[in-house]
Amino acid sequence: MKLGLGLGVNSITSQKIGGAGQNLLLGSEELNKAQDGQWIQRLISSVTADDEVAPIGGETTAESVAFTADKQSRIEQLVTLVAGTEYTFSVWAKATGGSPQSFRLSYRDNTIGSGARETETAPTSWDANTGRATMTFTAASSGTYWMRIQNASAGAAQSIYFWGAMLNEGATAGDYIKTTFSSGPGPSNPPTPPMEFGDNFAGVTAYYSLRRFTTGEDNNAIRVRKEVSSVDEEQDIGFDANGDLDTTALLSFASDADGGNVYVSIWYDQTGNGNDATNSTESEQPIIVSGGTLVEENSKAAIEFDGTDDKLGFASNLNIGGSPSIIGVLKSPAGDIAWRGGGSDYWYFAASNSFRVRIGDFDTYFNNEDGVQDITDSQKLIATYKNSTNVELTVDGASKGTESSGTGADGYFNNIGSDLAGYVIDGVWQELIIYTSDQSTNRGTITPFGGTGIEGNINNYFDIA
Amino acid sequence: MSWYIGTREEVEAYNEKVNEAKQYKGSITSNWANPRPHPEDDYYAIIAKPGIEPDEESSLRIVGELGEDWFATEELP
Repeated sequence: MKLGLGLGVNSITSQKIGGAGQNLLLGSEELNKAQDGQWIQRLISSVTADDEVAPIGGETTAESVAFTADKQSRIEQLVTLVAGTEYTFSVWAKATGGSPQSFRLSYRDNTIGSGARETETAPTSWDANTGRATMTFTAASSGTYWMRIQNASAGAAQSIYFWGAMLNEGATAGDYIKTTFSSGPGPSNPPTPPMEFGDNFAGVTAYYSLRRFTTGEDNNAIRVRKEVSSVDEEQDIGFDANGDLDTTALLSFASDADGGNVYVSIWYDQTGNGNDATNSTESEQPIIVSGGTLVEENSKAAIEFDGTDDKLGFASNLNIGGSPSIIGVLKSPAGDIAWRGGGSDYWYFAASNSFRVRIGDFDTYFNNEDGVQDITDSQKLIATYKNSTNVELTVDGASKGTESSGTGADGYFNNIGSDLAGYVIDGVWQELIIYTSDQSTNRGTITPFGGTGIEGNINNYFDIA
Repeated sequence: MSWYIGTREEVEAYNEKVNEAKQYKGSITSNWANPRPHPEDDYYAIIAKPGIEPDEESSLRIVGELGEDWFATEELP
């Protein structure tokens, strides 16, 4: 479900934050190709390849599309989109005559059998900054969609030049990315948007997860340790083709482990920033395969901390600044600290309806009166977004309000879990994302099985809400 | 999970014995356990490694689990 984008992407002019660094359409300059999986022609008179100089690059790569006198005259390509995600569909258009011409951009959601359209204008000239028509919409369903470039008039046949068709996540058209049809008749499956967090959100300081950070990277998730006849062995575990933890390799590694137990010695920071969380002490390493069975939470792999001494971290504190955003998928009982740094920075699950945040000199409880309820003993998506002296807490996508405290002093992080006696977490972690910047404007919303923004991306993978 | 209780020197000696027996070959793991000080009294506990016992001259005593007095909650900073 998560692959397909890589097919045929052959150049990127630049990338933008927020998922714009992608083009979910193939054959962005091959609008004449009309086999299955390509630009299907409906009621089209003809499409002439390479008929006009393109608005970018100066090469003659723009097609002219000759629509018949029918509003349903169109070229269209099938894609797979994710419910609750905002997309922008764009194409450069130019009139073939001396007057502007109208056409439509539209989509059809094949799950619910409806869609939307916008009428656009093809000007008489174009360049990189003019002539680009855009249509932004939020997908209502997860499934296939037809993305259409079509005639606007039932009364007149007309030809219009088109170039650079693109579909990207976000509210605006991203910098143009050329794609091609790789070979043959086109992909057997429609391209799907990349769900990996790092493909959609930039500027992450540290990313610990049991899912892949970006589609293009061949990172490892964890290093694991086992004993075989009391002799230690360690091995890195990466991801499968879907971006999930490679549990096949992990369980194979566990197959001859004493007691069927496998422990985590490193949780890699997948950003490449080098903030790997480790523990060189055997008895303090959390477990991921217990008795030959993968530790899971809500059907996804999880790392279990024993509540006695387990933790993963590093010797020196990571300065997370005065406005960090910390987002985690975890399960904690009451009375435990989930992460800690700098001696007095942490998330403390004080009770099922009481959550304490300390970052720098910020120190505040969010309680029942803030809407904090039942936050312990079940999988939760917890996020704290700090902006100078204010912190907003969200639980499973719902804001629990904003509290003020402190002067904005720098906070620190150095342990997943806790090294403070009496507060060692007896629970599981599945993902921890750390920004040194306030990401509250990017947090998005959560809908069942999906959503938008940072928290929507997380929910889409972990199915928390 | 069993624990050995004794002086700091005794639990550290036990830890060294486990480390020597394990001969950690992985690039990360290099230590069995860290001694846990009692919150109030001057003795320590260390997790017992199944199959590895203290030296005969050691006076470490083994317990099935640590009492609650070992887990006295510190005051949150």
